[in-house]
Amino acid sequence: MVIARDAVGGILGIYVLAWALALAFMVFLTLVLVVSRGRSDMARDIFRRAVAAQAPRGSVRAVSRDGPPAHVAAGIRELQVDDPGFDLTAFLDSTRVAVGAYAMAWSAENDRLLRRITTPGYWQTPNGKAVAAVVAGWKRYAGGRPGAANRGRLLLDVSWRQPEVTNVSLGKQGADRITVRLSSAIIGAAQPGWHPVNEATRLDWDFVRPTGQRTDPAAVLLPRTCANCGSPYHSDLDDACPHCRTARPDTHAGWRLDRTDLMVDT
Amino acid sequence: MLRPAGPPPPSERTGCLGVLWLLVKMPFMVLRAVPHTGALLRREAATDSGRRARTWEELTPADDQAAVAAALDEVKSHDAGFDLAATTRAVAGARRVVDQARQAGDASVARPVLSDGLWRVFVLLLDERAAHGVVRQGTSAVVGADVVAAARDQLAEQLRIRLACRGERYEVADGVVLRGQPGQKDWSEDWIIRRSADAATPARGGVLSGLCPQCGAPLQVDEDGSCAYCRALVLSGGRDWVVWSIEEAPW
Repeated sequence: MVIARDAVGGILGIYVLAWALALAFMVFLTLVLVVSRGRSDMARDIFRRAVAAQAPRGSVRAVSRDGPPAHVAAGIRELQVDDPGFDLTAFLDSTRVAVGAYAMAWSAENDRLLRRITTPGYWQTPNGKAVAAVVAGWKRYAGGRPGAANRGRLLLDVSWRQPEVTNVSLGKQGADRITVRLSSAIIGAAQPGWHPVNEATRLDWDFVRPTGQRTDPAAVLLPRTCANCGSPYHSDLDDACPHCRTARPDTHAGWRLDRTDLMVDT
Repeated sequence: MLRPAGPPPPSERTGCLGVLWLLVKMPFMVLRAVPHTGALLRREAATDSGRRARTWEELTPADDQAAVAAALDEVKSHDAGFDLAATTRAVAGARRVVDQARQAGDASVARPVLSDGLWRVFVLLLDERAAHGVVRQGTSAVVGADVVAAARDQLAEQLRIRLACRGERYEVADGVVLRGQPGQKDWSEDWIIRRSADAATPARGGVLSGLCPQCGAPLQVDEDGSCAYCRALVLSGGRDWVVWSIEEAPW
């Protein structure tokens, strides 16, 4: 009887402790939101600097107000010597797909397209893990519900501003890497009541491909039919042929998103 | 973010039992987010939300007119066939086509005018809207167009054309107005067209005139962005102007 009473008391104690910790955590998050989203720019700047200072390596970059370094243009020219089919306009255009895929994963909690255009290493980066956690949270919540779409969140528009190449690195560790810095504004809505959810973020996007890979000028950005059996894909999100299950080929001239770095004004 | 919105899955308990169960598990649900605190803080520090985010959507201020004129002269000196008036008219025409695609919820209508990447995101967004029953209402027209920025470097040429629009636009889902409001309004949109620096206006006209810049045939573009006649990829910006970005002020 005493043991049972102690056990019940212990469970209740743990439960009360859990509530206390949860409330403390919620108060902390509320304070963060008040500071971060309040009217005071000064308080927000202090918060940003503190977060940037404490951030682990490879998750946040301080924003440089300088233009792209001179070596970028030289790097692109060098790339074009090795790969005459490389076109910066087409490359930047294809990076936009990554922005849309990221917005879909982050805002609508659907990462199917993002998974197709990223390297496996992306999901080991701090920001890749954060996206994975958001999507996993939704999937855990949705459970066995049919369909992957989150009916309670809606992505209305993705705006993409001022893309600029900030770094080109060729042949390091067997890979070519291009970093694109741009601002993206996500316009969405969420239930209840479809209230507006607007977010604007500046990120550095790193795209990599194996050194030596060349752009095929005749390769389309996204094939509509399977090269193996000729069956049409049903949508842009199809990862494999619906008929023969052959994997859909890479569609970005080999360039895949390898990491994203949040930009913090410091 | 870690607590997704939406109706509960059918497997969840309902009624008083459901509320009781929710109370029991709530602190543990909250504590599950603790390991992600760092990511949440970093994201919060790097993201502007609500009113602040809306300022990011404001249109980029126009460049100095002298600088724009100089850049346009540079474009003309490299491409004698470049006709600014025809180009701005064509961009206004492209806007009509894209508007039609949005109204109909059919992305394929806009395929011949949008760059490959922009079109893919356009498809993604229209799919997302269709899944949630979002409908765009109202019609509008372009009443003026002005080049507010022009740039040419060794790799590419880019024009930012500001379209003055008049009409009505709003978006509705489940009877709720998501964006805009009914009634006539004036607003501006920036349409950015871009092409590679070594591209030149085809003699008979190109993508924005509805012709293939490679073979000159009336432009019929397959969904993969290739000309239906000669199979050339015409919407990558490598051969001719393409609509590369559409920027709208908050609405």
